[in-house]
Amino acid sequence: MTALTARIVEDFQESAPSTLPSAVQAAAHRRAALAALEAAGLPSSRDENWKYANLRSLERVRFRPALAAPVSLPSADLPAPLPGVARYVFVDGRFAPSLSAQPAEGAGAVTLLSQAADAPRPVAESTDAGGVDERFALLNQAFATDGIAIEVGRASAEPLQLEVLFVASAEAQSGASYPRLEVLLQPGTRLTLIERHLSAGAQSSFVTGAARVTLARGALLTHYRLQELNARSTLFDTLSAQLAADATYRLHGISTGALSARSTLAARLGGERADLSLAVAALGDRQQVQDGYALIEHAAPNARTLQTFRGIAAGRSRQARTAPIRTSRCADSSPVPRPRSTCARSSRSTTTMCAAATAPPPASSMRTCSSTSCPGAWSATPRSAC
Amino acid sequence: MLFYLLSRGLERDTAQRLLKWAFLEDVIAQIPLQPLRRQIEERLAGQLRDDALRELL
Repeated sequence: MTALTARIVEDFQESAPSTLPSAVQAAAHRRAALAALEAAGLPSSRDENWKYANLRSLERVRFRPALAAPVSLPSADLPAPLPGVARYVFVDGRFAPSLSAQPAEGAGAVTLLSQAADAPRPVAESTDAGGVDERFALLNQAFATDGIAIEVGRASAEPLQLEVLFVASAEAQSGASYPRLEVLLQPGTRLTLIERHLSAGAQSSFVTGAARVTLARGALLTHYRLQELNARSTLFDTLSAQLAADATYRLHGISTGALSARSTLAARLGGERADLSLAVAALGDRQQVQDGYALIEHAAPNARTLQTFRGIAAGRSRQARTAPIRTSRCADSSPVPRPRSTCARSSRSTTTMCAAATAPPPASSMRTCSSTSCPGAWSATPRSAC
Repeated sequence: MLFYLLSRGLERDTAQRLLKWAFLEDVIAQIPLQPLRRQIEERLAGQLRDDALRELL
């Protein structure tokens, strides 16, 4: 066990696991996550997928959840509300009703995890559980204090629109924030979801977020993820997504904050014609490190992924983006075109601009097969770092 | 590209700002929710220290 893992275990025991809400995560799931972390540890820079991430900040943080009562933030400190969009605000991983504006009864059901009747499944269960990229999701699973579950159960003329704000206010040396988000879209339903991560004040916060998205046949999710933490904070974020046939997931990421931010996406396109569109812009300045990793699995025929990444690194900041696509043999086995990746630094400027993009192969080149045995094969790895 | 813009009479600072926004446009243009897009542009302008654009927004 490393010193870091020992500190996680110590903080878990100090947090009195029995006092962490079992509605958010069952005690058995928390202990299982801790045991997995104890056995495997957190990723290190020796792990290939983590070599660009800044993990040094972990040496100074406390892993126990920030247990102090949430600070009372004036609404004026939050971004202006968007018209027609219901808002849910969490401060240090706990729901803040006074800052929220809940929607009228509609097509969707929004549940606070701390008030849920049944403990949800662990986030790490649905993806590469136990893999090196899931370890921060396990950390969230062990320590989560609250979160939000959104289920859209029936189709409506206009998509439901929700905004979820995760505000970090606690100092990293006193406690961490564990935001948690679960989205389930039933067949044919639509949702527009805006997820923001931001800071209250200038303190250095430690945030470990986990999100799970499940889209049933024909569902459409437009998901905006805005990372606007202050320039002293640290964020590790894990998103896992499952797409059924004809489901569409449009994921827009804008990352401008945090001293160190690592975003991990694991998406499985499990149904025919599942469609993932990933558009990310990242801006770094001074000593910011923003690292993104997306593992996308095409497990069914005619699945499609479109990726666009734009990164601008000023000063001594660093940007990295890696997004391998794995295609199962029973799915579309035609080669994915080599990604276009550019990285340029002007000789008279301290700004570097990086871009990477992949586009799906033309439809005429797609092949299908009915086999149910689908060992994976790596097909493309867009990578951009500067 | 920068040289071209300079040759058309743009100041260096303006040309660089123009190039940065054009570079980000591929991502920003995919955001159909106008009020949110405006907030994102304001945030990006702040990060890029683009005061001229912030005034316009």
